[in-house]
Amino acid sequence: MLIDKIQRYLDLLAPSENVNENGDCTLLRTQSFFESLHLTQYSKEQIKYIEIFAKKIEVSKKIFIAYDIQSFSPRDETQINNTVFCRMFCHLMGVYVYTKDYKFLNTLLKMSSNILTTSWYTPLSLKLIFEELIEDE
Amino acid sequence: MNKKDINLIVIADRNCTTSMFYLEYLHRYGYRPWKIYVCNFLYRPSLSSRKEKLVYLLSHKLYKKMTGKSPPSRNEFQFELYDELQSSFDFKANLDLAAVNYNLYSDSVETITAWNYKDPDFQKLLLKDTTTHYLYTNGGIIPQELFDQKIKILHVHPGIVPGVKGSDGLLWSLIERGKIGYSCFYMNAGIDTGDVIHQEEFKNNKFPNLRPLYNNYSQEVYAALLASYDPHFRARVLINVINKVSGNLSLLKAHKQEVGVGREFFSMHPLLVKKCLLNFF
Repeated sequence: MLIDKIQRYLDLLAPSENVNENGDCTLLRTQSFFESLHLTQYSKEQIKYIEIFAKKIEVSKKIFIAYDIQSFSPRDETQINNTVFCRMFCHLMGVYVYTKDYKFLNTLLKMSSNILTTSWYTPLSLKLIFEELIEDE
Repeated sequence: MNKKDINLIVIADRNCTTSMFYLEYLHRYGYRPWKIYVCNFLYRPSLSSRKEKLVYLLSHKLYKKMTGKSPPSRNEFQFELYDELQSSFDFKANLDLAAVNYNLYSDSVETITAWNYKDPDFQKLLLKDTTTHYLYTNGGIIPQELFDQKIKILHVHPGIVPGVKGSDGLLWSLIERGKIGYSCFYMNAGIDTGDVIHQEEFKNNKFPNLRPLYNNYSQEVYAALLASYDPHFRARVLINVINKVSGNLSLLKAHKQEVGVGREFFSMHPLLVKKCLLNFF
């Protein structure tokens, strides 16, 4: 199953260092958000946030490490690292499998084409999973 | 046939076939826009300085001087595709944009070279008349400062808003709603968030003759759809809007879109374009 393969890939990703959330409920940390997700068990609100991240990718080709939860403007303009990028890629695949919404597939195709930034890349093993997903279509 | 003058200024991008379709439909349905601004927009490359603008213009002029003709833009294959894609409509528009006689469509034609809608000289020109309706054909984003002056710009967007906003509306409409849809609205500074005047959906046409091109020429077919198929529907919708008020655009009524509702789509990846094109064969 494709979802199992995505899950296995996620399991291999290095766990994050403890991030001090400071109890700030107006802050959304990109890394923490994607680490809190479970494949195939997305809530409506989580899908809404993933769609916002997809929009960020499409429009600015940049994902920062923290956003204001209301306005979704960046609170820290440091870009996410490649591990978070891969985690995001996995969950975009997960949401696509879950919703069959081509909007997510479109973002995935663009991310996979490595056109985003030179600091992010889609590793071969992840690309292979993605190719399998496309072949299923 | 007597033409009815309408209080409309068409901002016609001379490199965009949509302009041609609007003008041709207006002409065929007996309407004569008050004015046409034939715009040579230079916005395509993202240049901003005067120096870059000069280099861009000079390169075009040099090509013309050395070869004796304008830089090539469309080839025979594209024209054949345009012809095939227009086969199901009442008439086929001539899309040789270099040969358009704009004086056929309006008594007042002015040619303009503008960078884009942010160009101060162009803005000044548009703001000379804020009582009339303008028709948008192309040219990029319109800045807020123009709307602050209460300028009224009509746009026909390929998508039923607020459900289908943004780029590549023709294909996203097929995915989202199973048919193609168009919305005519007053533009504002948001992306397809203006007040809606009229909306219409159409059954998609099929072109089985083009099926053999699918594997190797999907991008060319898509470009031709955007240039010669989609504008027919946009122009039809515009005519329906104008007919509703018998050409008196000051009678147009619009309603606000619900804020925060609907979806915004982005340019479609070529692989997804290819998949969506199956809807046309």
